[in-house]
Amino acid sequence: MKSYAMPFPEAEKSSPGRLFRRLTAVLILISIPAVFSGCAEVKEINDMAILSGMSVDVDASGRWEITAEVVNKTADASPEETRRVIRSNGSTLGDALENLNFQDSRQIYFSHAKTLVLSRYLAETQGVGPVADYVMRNYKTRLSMDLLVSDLPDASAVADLSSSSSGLIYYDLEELVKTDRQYGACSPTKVYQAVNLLKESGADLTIPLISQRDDRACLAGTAVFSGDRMTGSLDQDETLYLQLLQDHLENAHLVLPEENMTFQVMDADASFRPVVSGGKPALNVDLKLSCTLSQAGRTVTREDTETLSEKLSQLVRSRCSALITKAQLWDADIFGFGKSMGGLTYDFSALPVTVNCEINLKLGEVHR
Amino acid sequence: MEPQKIKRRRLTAGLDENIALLKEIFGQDTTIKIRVFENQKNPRVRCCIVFVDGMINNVLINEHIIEPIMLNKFLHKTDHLLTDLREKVLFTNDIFPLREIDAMMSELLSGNTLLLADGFSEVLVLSTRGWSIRSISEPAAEKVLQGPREGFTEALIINLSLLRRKICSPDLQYEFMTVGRQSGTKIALAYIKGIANERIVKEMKRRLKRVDIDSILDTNYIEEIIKDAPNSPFKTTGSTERPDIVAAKLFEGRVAVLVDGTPVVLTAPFFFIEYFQSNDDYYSNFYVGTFGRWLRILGFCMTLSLPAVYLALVTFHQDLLPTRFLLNLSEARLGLPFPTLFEMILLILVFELIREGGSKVPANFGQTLSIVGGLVLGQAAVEAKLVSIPVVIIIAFTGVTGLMIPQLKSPIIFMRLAWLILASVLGFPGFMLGVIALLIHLSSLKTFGIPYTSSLSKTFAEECQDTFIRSPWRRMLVRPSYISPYNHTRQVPQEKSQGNVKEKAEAKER
Repeated sequence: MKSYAMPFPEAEKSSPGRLFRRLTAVLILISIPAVFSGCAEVKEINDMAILSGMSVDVDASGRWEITAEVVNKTADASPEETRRVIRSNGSTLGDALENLNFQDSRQIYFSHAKTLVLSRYLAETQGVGPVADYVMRNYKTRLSMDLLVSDLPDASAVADLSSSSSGLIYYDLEELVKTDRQYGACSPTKVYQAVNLLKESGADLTIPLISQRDDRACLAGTAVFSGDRMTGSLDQDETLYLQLLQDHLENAHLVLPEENMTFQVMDADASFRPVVSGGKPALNVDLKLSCTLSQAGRTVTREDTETLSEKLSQLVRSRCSALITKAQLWDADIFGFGKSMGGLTYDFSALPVTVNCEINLKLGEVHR
Repeated sequence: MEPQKIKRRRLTAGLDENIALLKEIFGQDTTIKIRVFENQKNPRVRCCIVFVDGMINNVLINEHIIEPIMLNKFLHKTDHLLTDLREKVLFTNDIFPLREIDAMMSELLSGNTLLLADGFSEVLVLSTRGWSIRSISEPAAEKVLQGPREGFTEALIINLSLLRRKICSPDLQYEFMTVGRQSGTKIALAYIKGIANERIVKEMKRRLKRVDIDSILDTNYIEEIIKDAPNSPFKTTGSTERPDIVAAKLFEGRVAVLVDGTPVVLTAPFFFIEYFQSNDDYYSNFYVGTFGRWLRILGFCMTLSLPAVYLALVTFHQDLLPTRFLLNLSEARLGLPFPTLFEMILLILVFELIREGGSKVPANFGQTLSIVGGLVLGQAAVEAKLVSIPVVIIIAFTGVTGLMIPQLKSPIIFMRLAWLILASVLGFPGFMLGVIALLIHLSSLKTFGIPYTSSLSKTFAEECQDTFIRSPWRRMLVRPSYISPYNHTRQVPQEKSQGNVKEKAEAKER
């Protein structure tokens, strides 16, 4: 057996080869800090100005304005003191963002920015494209930021709204979008999703619309885009049916006002079937909903099941049809019909669409 | 007198000359007692005993050596006086003759008594050891909740007997050697014949014979000299103070080295996984044992990685942190003057100082020290804005998990600092470089010719049953083949006691 123990008295023999190896090892160790850029990338947290989000505006002369919120937390700070709003402008978007660095003594840190708000004017004139392109190219910003369109006069007005919880309005907006999505009130879009939709064909972009109620932010519907330009907006009720058609609906509720009843949607499924009718392409939209009666304004019996199902189905069909018609007027395929049409050549704005709706209704506790 | 001169001297037949020689050798050492006496009936029978005061059993000497010689009525000064004394007069259980001076000195200084007789140039060595030894108690650093509570002591003979009680088999072999030119320390190599790997036994003997040092006061002297990779912080020989652990390792085919004067016993070979094995695992339920092992492995990983990972995240990869956590960290670091790396190194140093101080402090002050160290220093440092609270928590957690495996103390201290510096330079890639370097080092190590990570690289279920998990005893049928290639079988497979068809049939017939 070969022994690997170094005999005690012979351990200190030196040779030119050993000395050369040791020198080489030391040189390599010394050169590592010089060759690698690691040391230069060190950033202490307290030397960074953490950006929670920003708003992008463009004026009529084409000058870009950025309004951003920087975290300014200290242990004994009040909610108003935990943030600082900084503004910059520039002749291009990149110029305005680089100028932002001069507005704070610390290095601006973009990686934890959660929300990017565009003004309506920007969305309608310049479109989402330039903004999404910059975010894509810039390694500092995250592609997972939520995109929002501001229904206020300027996107910069968002930064002046009050925060409801964390003291940081842009983080509040992220929470707002996340929460309201569960109830079908918005269809969130992140930057990378917007980029994917702009690159692909067969579907158009939608971005949640925010507005102001009292002095706090609230969701006001959905901005509709054709290509990368905004062409119209949907209110909150239409947004719910948009979610249904996009097959994203989770915990929404439907209302039959004439019956004074509220129904909870437990499960929803939407599928599209392209058909050829009279030599022309058409589309059938098949909706399947499972609903339960969550609030009854009158006494209900089991015999009411069919009637209520029919009324609910009629409601859903009419609202969806109206929404589809509106989208066709804007030529914005926000439902993704194009992905289901296969190789058929069609004109979205003139596509005949039939909406079918099947309701599986459970009334729950009924009176005999 | 110089050792070389002692070796050249010889005893003569004259008792007085021999006594003069002994006095010359030991100089003014008053602990060496020389007692001359003669037989009452026949004064020509003159004898002298030489012993070290405090190392012998006085009653044995007085009643079993001096008294029989002095009072014996049949002693005569003949050519076979020493033989008569040895076989018919003296009441000791071990007597043998010696001529060489250096061997006599060794026996004398180990607690035996020399009997010189007038007219003879050889001595009789009488076994009369009787010094005070520490009682057998559980080792402080290896306590168990359940199981034996014996521990080795400083006396080699006691340790050998403790081991013999655990292994009541004639196959348990002891081979004795003396190491240490000045100390003359006795060591014993123990192994079980038929189970131990003969190559390992041979290799161990070879390495022990090559130990050439002036004194051996602890097994660590031997361990550092015979280890496979002297510059590696990892051990390639195990050490323990518990006889049950040594016995268990001998049963697996390892060898053990017991050293006189220290309760620590070396075992070889030693594998990396053994750091995480505890005798507690074997004395309790296998679920508990396995969980305990996982905790130790997790603790090891955390104590090494936590500071480096935290530093990498906080200084290079802030993107990976959850936003709320980042905001809290940012708030915690407000107003701090030092970079995070400096904070961590400072706190690690403080922790190590407190730990080192705590290990030496008397028990009365231990609690005070922990209060001062933990609460006052930590709290005060945070309030003085010298360090941040998250770093205090990280280092405290790192320190506590580092104490889970005391044997890994030196590699942990070294590697933790190395990984911290790598992470401070290169972030996560630097940390990964450190991990890769460690894995390469561990994979390249060998212990007595067997790869250090042998037990971790096996794919047969039989070989892996005592690595990351502690299998039930009924499943551990074989010994690891890489240690004991000859006698592989540990136990015969047991039939299950429940649901056994044959037993049920027999019960039904009855």
